Amino acid sequence: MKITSLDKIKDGQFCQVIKINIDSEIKNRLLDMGIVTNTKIKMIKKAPLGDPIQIYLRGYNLSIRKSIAEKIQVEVIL
Amino acid sequence: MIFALVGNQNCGKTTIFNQITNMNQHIGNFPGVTVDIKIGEVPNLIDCEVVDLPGLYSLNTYTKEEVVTKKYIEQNKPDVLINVIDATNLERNLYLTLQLKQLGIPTVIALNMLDEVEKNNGYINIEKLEKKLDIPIVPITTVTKKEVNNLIQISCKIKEKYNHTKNTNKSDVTEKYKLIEEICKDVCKNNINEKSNNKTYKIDKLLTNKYLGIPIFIIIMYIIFYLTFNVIGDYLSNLINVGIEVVSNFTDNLLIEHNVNEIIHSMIIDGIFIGIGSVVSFLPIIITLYFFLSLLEDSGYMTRIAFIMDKPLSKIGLSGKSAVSILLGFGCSVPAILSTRTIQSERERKLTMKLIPFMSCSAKIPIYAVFVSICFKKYASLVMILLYIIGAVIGILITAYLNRVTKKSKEDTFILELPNYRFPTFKNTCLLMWNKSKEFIEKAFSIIFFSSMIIWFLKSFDENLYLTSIEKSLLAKIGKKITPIFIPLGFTDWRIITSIITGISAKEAVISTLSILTNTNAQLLPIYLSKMLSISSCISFLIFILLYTPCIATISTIKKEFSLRTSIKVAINQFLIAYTISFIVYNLSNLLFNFF
Repeated sequence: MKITSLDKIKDGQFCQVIKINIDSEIKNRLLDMGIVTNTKIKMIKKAPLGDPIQIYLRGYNLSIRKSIAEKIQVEVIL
Repeated sequence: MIFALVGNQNCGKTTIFNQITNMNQHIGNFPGVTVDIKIGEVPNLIDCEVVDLPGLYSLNTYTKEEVVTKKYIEQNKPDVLINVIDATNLERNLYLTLQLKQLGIPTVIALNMLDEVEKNNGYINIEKLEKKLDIPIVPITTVTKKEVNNLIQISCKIKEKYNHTKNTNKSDVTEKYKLIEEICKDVCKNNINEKSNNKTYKIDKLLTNKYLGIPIFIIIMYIIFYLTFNVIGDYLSNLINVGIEVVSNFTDNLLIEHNVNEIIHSMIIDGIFIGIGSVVSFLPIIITLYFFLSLLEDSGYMTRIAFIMDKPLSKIGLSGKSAVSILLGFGCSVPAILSTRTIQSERERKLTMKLIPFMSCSAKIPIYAVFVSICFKKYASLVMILLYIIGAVIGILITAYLNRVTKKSKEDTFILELPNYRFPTFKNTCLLMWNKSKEFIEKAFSIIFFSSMIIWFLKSFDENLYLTSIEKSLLAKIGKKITPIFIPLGFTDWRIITSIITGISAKEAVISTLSILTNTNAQLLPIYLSKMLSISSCISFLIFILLYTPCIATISTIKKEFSLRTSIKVAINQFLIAYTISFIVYNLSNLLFNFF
């Protein structure tokens, strides 16, 4: 069990959300989009220039900036 | 009775709306195609209206277009909410459903895209889902007339039966999602969109490839512009030109035969026909451009453009979503500015809006076509593409500057759903092209018609309202007064100045004005203009047109979306920027020509 931030997850790897460390409107939006505690997320890929990232959760694909992903604490699922 | 269509973005609300009302609203495969409220009547039902609302993910609104929806529900109190759900994306869609349920408004679910679920070998137990949610569900596959009729019938009935009350007990997000997970586990079999997901990943392997993604994007854009200006559009334009000439000659002969009053004859042939004809002949080019833009949007590639362009755009204070507004700006600034509503940060939104006028709109195509053919016959389409690039580069430099001098905001960010690729439907693409043609023709026969009449009147009469030669006309007198302002840019002929001014009413008016004033059609216009302008002033004119004050429609949209002050500022700034750069370009090119 390894705890890290979402941006550190490798392409194709799964992880589970622990906490979102953001204190602005952005946090509410992430929650609304289904990124809540225990949500399973698959890292798909990074954009050609390394940012933003594409993740897969709850049956859909979402793109967020790395600066947000850095603040999402996750646990790697092996 | 009012039925409001509510649902996540890109879940098919507009398709259902169109089917119910027999209307033709545009549908895209991009979150946020509908950024405004659209109202339509339900045929065969008295006093029944359907409202198409911008999509939203949650009632905790985040972007401007979501606020539009929330406000509508709160203030207009629709009688029934039709919650449209994308069945291939059940989990996230149901979150909004649970929120809507707490509002205490009668709700019906339109479970859309069930055909997709089936294609993916997935299965949803609808009866069970209905019971679990305690909301009636109407299954929808390809949005047939029968399906929407059923939807309307059930929506009508629910109003009487409804007995839920407003539930102020707000369970938090995590609880809601937990509940949804349980429900989905119970009613869904197989991963409901695995197949289409995998297909999308395969396409993305190429289109958002680490090394190829950006080159492919550039090549696609180049091909679009090349085909629009060189191959398809040009060919069709020539065809239309021939058609217009036939009709014009026919009318001309008819008027002579019937001995119609000379003034009326001149008004019809020299005013209306030349004015409108010069613009209409460019319709094919504009429609071709829209055709390609709609393919980008409908297929879902537009979101990938946002995805790959977010990083470079963030460097100048924009978001990946700005890329979409920028591309739409190549069509028309008005929808482009409206589309900035999907950008959450107000700062990014404003910067995007200010960049849009630098993206040359399709109404300027006729002007370029005419003027480029004066001085760059051989490389016409290349020069046209170069103009687009010049506009974009200047805009980007200015945005970069504005980004530096304005304060960064905490809300600057990028969160965007990447929908699965869809094959653009023939019907939808045709609809769009039909709508755009209709819009264009309407504009040609309203704004262009009136400006043509006014120009014809002013160029035919003197201040005592006597018929006179064009050089002694009212228009010549006014035009000559303003001309000195533009001499530093190399525009010495008053007719050129007049066209610049009428261009503020609509960019199409530039060419129609010049056609009327030189009494020629768009095909022969370059020959006449080459006598009025040197090559340097021609280049200067192209740059000026590219950059100067946007049309009235754009300015008023900025006023509506931002403020009166902002709109005036944009209008003045664009003029000053255009003036300065044209001045530099004119003198530089003069210097170069003298040198060689």
